Amino acid sequence: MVEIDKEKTATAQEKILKTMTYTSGAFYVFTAALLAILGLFAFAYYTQLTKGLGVTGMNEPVYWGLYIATFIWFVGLAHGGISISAAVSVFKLENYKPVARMGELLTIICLMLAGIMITFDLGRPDRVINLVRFGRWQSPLVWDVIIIALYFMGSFTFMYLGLRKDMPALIKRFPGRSGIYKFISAGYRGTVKDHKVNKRVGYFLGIALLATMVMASGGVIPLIFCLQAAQPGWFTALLPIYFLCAALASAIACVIIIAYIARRLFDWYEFIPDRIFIGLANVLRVFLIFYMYFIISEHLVVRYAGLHPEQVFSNALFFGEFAPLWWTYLIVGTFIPFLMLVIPQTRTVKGILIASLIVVPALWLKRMLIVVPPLTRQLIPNPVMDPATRSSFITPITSIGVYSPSWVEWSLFIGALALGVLMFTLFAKFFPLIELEVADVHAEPEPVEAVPPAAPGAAPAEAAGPPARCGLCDAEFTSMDECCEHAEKEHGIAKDSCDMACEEVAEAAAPAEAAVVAKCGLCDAEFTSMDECCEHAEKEHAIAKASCDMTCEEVN
Amino acid sequence: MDTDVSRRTFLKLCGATIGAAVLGSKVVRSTELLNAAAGRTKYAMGINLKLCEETHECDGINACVHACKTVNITPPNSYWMQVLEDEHMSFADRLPRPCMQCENPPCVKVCPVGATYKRVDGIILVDYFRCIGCRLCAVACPYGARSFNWDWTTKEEIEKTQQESWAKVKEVWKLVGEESPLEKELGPDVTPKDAIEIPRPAGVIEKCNFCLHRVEKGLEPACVAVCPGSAITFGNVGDPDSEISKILEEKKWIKLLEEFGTKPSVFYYR
Repeated sequence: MVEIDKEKTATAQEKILKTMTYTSGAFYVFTAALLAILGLFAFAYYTQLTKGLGVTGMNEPVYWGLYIATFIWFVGLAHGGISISAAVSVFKLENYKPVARMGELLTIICLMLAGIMITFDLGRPDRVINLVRFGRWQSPLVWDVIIIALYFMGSFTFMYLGLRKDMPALIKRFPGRSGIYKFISAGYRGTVKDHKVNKRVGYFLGIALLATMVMASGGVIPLIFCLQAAQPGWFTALLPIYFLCAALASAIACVIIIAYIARRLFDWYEFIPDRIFIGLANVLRVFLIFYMYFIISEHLVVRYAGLHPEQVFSNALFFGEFAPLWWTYLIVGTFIPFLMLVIPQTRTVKGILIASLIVVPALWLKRMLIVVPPLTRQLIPNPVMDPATRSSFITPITSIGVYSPSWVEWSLFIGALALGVLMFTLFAKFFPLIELEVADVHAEPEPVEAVPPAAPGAAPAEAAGPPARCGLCDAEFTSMDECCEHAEKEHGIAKDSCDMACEEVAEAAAPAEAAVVAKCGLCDAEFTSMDECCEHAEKEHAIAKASCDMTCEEVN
Repeated sequence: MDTDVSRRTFLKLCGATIGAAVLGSKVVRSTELLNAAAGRTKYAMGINLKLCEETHECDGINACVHACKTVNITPPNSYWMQVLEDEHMSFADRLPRPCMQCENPPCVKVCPVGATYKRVDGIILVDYFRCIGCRLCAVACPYGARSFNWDWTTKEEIEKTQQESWAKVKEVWKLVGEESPLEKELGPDVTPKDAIEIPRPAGVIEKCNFCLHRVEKGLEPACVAVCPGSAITFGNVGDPDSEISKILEEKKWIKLLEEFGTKPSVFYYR
């Protein structure tokens, strides 16, 4: 194993800790803006608490709206983060380690926001404890509470395990805060044994989390919807896998956005290289194409079979009042990002970022289109609440429900987003956003490159860089560049594709070196090859060449 | 570990505790049911759509809806009893829709806190003091029979709504030219005190309960009592001599959205 270059690690570590050590004026402006939004948020919630849910756009029969859609969205976003992080630990995807902590943080924050969102939706948030006091295991909502609580605890512990490993370094670096960090480290001192135990627990917890993740979005959250026969738009067994797919797509897109912003802000190009974005984009496009397939599948079944209630819902999306949103979502929100991730010219880091910036809000819109349209189409023509007067007793000319989010709902939504960003920012001020281990790993390859010029004193004349050889004419060169130039001149091969002709000769350097290979056992003379030694043995010590191994021995 | 409890013992203890908790809750629930199962009655409602359509005094007002609001003092924007009118409905011009009091109620199934429950006589009730207002039951009901108490309303507002509804009931009966049975019973001026006095918290679900407070006193539900065309019949289907049992035997009837397996207790016939 190559030893960690302590000096380089310290530099890299310092770079990771930049979020904690350096505070610009922009930070204060940004935080102040977030706090201002939170002020609006507090005012909107105060309004809702004192006046009742009537201040929202929800009505009869659209009993659910933006809050529930945003709740699903947050739970979805919560998935990718921890799944990337757990996959790093379980499948040893060390390449993705630099984004693991950000993913974990995304999960924790989004799960908290999901909890907040569902509390906004309750008519009596003061009685939320009844879910624990009187919870019935037959209700899908209780399953949700259980699985989200479990998921939150698991993710929190998983993140803590990673955070704990950074504590010894943080205690050393920030002696002023050592009390807090010592408390968090809970006895972790970075010994080999500590490390081993931590890693083992993380591994098993990672497996458990991956399973819970599939269960949470793929098995439990959608059950609130797809178990309701009264809402034909939801009543399909496709919904669980549909939700899981959307959850992972939105979450991976969100991790891409966060990683990009962090890389730009803190100049972390060496920790978060382009290949991380490309790798995440490859996963993202798989989920996007699955999602498109599920949409086609859902509507094909509904429209081909032509059952009335389902068809009414499908028509509302395709041709009804939701058509502009629906088609915008389908074309701009899913198909274009998918194309951007498939075509090589747009699959650059910028292109991936733009696609992700489209996918995340588009999937929020899709969640709205899952929640609201089925509720507007009732099975029997019920009276509909007039949104203006909030009176439901109007002779119903049509029984189509109407919904548009009110300012209170928008404020609480934006406020929740601001709260999430604020939590993220404050976390970055107290803890490193990238695991400090990444700094160690980063320092490893450099000493390897540094060794060749330092060690071989015997061949100082040789130019740096590996020697190259032209595959077409067997000419040898001291560097790849020279070979490429030769290939262009002699063989008419463009420099970009010079690897067609030129190849690095890695081993070629070894025989050229005048290193000691053999040693005479009788007089301790040293030779560069076995043959030389044998010749010497014959001449000096009269030992036959055939049995020269009696005196000559190879030196490693 | 330095403690005396081994891992095996700990796990056993955990298992025993959980088992005891599960069994305990089962025992508690079954005693609750036994207490409620004192009388063997099953309430149902029959609605004669023909008589309902022919009652032209009700046109545009619907006495049953307002009688319900008067008696149950519902908040301004919530209507437990509704009369559905839709040009797309082929089998009826007017369709009174109380809660169906299903035998297999989807609303009870989904409630996370057990705030909505079924009595043995078939009536579904809501515990206003346990409901957390998640509206999952409203979403699960295929009939749209649940109304949510969206706003915090003052006592004055509720009283005003009650007076308005009561005026509408009187208006209908003025056209009929008689004093309505409900008026005879409650007197000309209704105040919240004359009717049911249940505090009405905001942010919870409410629904028709077949006027349980009246039924317990031996009275008919308000919508049945007030209907000028006598289109609505209420009674105990457990009793073969009751009016509703005879109607169900003689007439051909339908139930709304029966294919959803909800087994409603409201019958429609002509």
